[in-house]
Amino acid sequence: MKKMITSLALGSLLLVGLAFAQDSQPADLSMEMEPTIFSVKQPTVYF
Amino acid sequence: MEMGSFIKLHRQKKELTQGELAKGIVSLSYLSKIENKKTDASPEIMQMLCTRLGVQMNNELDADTQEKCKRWYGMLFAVNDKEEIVSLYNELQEVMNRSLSGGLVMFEIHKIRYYLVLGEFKEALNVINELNEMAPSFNHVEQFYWFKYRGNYNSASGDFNQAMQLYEQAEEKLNQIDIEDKEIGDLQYIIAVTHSKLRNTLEVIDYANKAMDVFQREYNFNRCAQCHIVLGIAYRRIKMYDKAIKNYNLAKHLGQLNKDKQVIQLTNLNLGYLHSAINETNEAISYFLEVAEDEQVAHSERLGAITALIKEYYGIDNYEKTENMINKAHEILDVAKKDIYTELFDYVIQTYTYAINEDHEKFRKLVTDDFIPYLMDNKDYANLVTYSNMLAEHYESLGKYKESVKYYKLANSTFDELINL
Repeated sequence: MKKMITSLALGSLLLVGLAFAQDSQPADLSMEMEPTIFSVKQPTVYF
Repeated sequence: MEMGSFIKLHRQKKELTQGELAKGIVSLSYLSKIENKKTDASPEIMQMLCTRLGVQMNNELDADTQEKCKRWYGMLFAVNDKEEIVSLYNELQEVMNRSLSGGLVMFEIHKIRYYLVLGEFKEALNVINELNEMAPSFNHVEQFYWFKYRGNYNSASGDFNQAMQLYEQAEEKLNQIDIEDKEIGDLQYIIAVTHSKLRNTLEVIDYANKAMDVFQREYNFNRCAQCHIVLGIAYRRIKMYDKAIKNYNLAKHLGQLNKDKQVIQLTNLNLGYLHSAINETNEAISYFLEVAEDEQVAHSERLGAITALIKEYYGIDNYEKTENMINKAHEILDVAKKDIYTELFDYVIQTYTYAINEDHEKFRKLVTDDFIPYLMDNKDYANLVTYSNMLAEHYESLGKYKESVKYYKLANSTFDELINL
């Protein structure tokens, strides 16, 4: 019984995770690069 | 600014102890009082201390030095030759070493910006620490630059919350000082970029527009282009794609007018991210390729484009091209390591190398033990969601559902953090 509840709980968590993974694809995960705050032409530091 | 602070500054630069400077002139405790502004020494004593320090007491710098200082301060803001900046700095430093005058403080404060522009962050921090004690006696203009450049230091170290607090303190000083419009525009632009790093999108739009007004009045198209890129990023984040593309196109147009390769390719890179976010993979790849193949572009932008291409190709299961890009990234990393901070790129490239080679154990170890803790330390939520998901999918494909759930949960909670930023 305990094993069944555990697997059910894990299963639903997995479903939530999968649903999230699908939902999150078009969301805001892009890592755009802003221009430098220093104007001198130099190798830019990646923050 | 009291003379005591100047005495202390020069003594420390000459690496003299208080005892060595005071000997035969004043008692050690009296020198300490002078330095800490607890007493005003007579002009005779000040003269003797200055003579021992090998400096001349002047109330003001001579006109020639003042003009050179102004030119040097200006050079720290525009696109200039590094060698020219360093050469003028050396010339001025020599004058400052021999003089005790009001202009010294402004020169010292601008040294923070100077070292940041040169990428010498440790030196910048040393200057901040040297000046920290005397900062309360700075006048309003000195305080404006003191806050702004310390903010710049924190931006360069990636602490954007701290940077923002300092920029806000600098902004408060604007009411109390008479300063050129372009200085105000520069502060507003920096605040816009910092809000962008913190993902405060509406504030980005507000400050970038304010800065743009200033730069348009000054016909400074290079700075206008930078504002358009920042606006493009902001509009993309609130899903106003047409406005984002319009701003990117304007930035690109200005970049072409100025023949500024960096602006053009930074725009292409961000256009790539925009198309990637709306799942237009082919368009995204074509923009990223433009940046990746341009050898004149700065290493950070090229590595940004190549790592984006690795993700895109991997996402459409094109492992051959993923591998090509990984090899290309290694070539650039070898050269770039001297100049830029490459830890994130290292992790990304290594992660995909293990993933395409199906080296499961190394992949798991790298992502769980090193990469995810690194992203958590750096509060890099966007990457944390991406790689937690990647790891969760990996465990899922191996049938290890318990581990898989753990990382989906991490991705989920991180995503909430990202939304709440």
